[in-house]
Amino acid sequence: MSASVTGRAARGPSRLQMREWLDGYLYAAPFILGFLFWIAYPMGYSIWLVLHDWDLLTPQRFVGLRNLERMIDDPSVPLALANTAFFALVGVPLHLAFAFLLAMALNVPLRGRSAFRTAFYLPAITPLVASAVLWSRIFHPEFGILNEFIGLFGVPAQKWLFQPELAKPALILMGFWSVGPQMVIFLAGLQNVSPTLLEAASIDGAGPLQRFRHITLAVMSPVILFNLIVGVIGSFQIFAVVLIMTDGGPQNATLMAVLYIYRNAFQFFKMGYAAALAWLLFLIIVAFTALQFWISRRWVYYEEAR
Amino acid sequence: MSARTISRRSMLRLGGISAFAAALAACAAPAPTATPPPAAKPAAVAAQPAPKAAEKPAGVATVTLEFTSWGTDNGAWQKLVDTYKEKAPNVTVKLTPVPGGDTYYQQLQTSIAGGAKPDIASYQGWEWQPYAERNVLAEIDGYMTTDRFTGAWPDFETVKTHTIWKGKRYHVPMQMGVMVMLYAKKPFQDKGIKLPTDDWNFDQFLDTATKLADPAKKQFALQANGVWARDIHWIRSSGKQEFDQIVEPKKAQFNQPEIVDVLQIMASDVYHKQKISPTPADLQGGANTIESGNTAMKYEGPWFLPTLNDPKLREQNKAVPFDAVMMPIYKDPKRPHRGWSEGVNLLKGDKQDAAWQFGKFMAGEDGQKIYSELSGRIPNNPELAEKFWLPTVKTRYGVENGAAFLKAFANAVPDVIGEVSRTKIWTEAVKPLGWDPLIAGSATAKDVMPKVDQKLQSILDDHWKNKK
Repeated sequence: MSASVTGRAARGPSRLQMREWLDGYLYAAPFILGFLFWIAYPMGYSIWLVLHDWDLLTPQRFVGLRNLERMIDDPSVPLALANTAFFALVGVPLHLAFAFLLAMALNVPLRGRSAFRTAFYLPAITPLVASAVLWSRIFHPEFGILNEFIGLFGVPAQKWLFQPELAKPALILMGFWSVGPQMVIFLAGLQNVSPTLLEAASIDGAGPLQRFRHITLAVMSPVILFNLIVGVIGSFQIFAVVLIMTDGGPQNATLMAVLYIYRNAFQFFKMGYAAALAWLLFLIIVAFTALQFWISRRWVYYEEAR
Repeated sequence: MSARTISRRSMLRLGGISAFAAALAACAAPAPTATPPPAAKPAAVAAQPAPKAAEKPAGVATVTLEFTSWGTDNGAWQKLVDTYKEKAPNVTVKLTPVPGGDTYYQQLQTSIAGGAKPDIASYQGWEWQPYAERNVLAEIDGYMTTDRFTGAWPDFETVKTHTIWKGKRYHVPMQMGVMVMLYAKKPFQDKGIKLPTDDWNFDQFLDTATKLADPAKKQFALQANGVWARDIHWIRSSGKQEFDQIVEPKKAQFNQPEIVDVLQIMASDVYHKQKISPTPADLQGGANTIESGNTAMKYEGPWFLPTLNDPKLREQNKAVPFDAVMMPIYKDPKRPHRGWSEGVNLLKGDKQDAAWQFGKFMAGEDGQKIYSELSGRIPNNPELAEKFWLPTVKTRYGVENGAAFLKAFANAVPDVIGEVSRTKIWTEAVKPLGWDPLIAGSATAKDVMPKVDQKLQSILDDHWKNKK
């Protein structure tokens, strides 16, 4: 037990405290250095690049705010952002709803539940490129099994990735295949829903929908918020799938923000402009996330806060 | 705990420091070798007298050359590397094949930026100019003069356009690139239709195609390429060109009646009106192609010959008997065909001399024989093409009318060359505003070409404004 604090505080930290601090920083050093080298430095460099033109072959050339001015005049920028926003804001809620329903279904004690959970999670660990190639085949207008399936219901074959109106919905449809991680997180959250509460509500006359809405959803709201934020951030960064399956087509219907950044950086070799676009996307994602947090005060219930 | 034992805290501290030190050691980056210094003595290099021409310098230390190649070309590049090793044992060429296409230049450019540039690299004849402009490539005029090696640059205007930039030569051709109509014989024979000949015209071509096609049975006449770069042939044969000048264009001119008319047919009606071509959707996954037997004709180049018919395919019973014919005569009586040089460029550095010797070998007769035999491509000059390419394509690929390629090259015109890359022109303007709606059938050429011109003009204006 330490002696009176008063005298010691005036003299600063003790040797023991300093050693403890040093130990702490030493253990955290790999992460701190990694963060500085792999994250903070590239971010700082990219801000610097925003003010320059660089084609990778010649030294960077200072251009001031020209990249930002170009961004304002570039019609591909609002197009790419609109496409991305559509994909994120329509796709994510649908995927989450599906993941939630799956989690509810797999929370029921039934035989082979583990096998089902594994099966639904497996697509999440499939390499993205392989998934993209697979889904290209599924969406094939002539030989794809999706058209075969909808044909059973009398729906004519669709051109999916070749029709501007259907290309984004097709990508959203593909997203349902990989809801495994969200499902697992929901499943974990569902374990916190107290059966006692549900039983008590049932005794008080609450029906299944009321129990679901006022108890299950309420308890799950922080988990839903987490999945929503992570999902929106991830969807805003969609890239590999679009590059492989549609390359932004047809007619720029799937030109997403990150794809446009990639094109400017590595096809048109305008690294400065690409950096400016990347920062724009970053700020939009931060704004969306902040907005979600702000709105969450109205609907997210934290048990510990009571 | 005795006084001699290390406490857990100390043990953990030591472990953490060791791990951190090991990570630092492992992450120690090698000093970047010559990050591209654009101001590296260009004048001095140009003024230098031609370097020594010794083919096999005796007593010289071994040299390792890094060679980035456009794909594997059916093993041709590797064979060249192996053969050169026998000729110049002190030179080791490390071959890095990179799949051809847009990603090739992305990888090349990032490797240059990352300080890992090759000594010699494949380039298409219209793609290397921005690199020369930025002082990345070595001029070769001096080497050519000293070694008296000029055979790889036959006297065609298109060869000059594709190998010279601002009065200096940089590009070493490995092939004469040209495209003609390849046709599978079976669809013609099945329908009793006369095989096309070099003197056919556009109306005959459309008429033949209409007779060949049976879309209900997924039998098509023409595997339309669906990209502006290849449809350039139709544009030029209308007698017009889509830019004010082919080298360093300043004005976009897609919206001309002749161009609009021909593109309406070849980029849209072939899918939706005449229905003689499989759409991109039909082609997905390799279906409905000339190789699969569903399509009778395709506008292609000699690199495609092994895809249709070669000894391996014949063994597997998968060969498609085919032949070649010049493109049909359209409005331009000069009958232009797209033609270019494609080959390699030397990158500036201290191994330029050795890289030149290797490039010279590949572009010389011995190298050309190896390259064209395995890749099917036409050698870099007509004499070599007559000498061994024509006989080879007949025996190896079954092409009777290989002369069509050579006649087409005699009428060759370049595509477009300049610092605004074809990729940018295509990706930003021509594809989304022009070809996509045309191929989808959602707009006519008359609707879309003004938009293409408008967008393209803004790209060109932006480039020229920034250049000043």
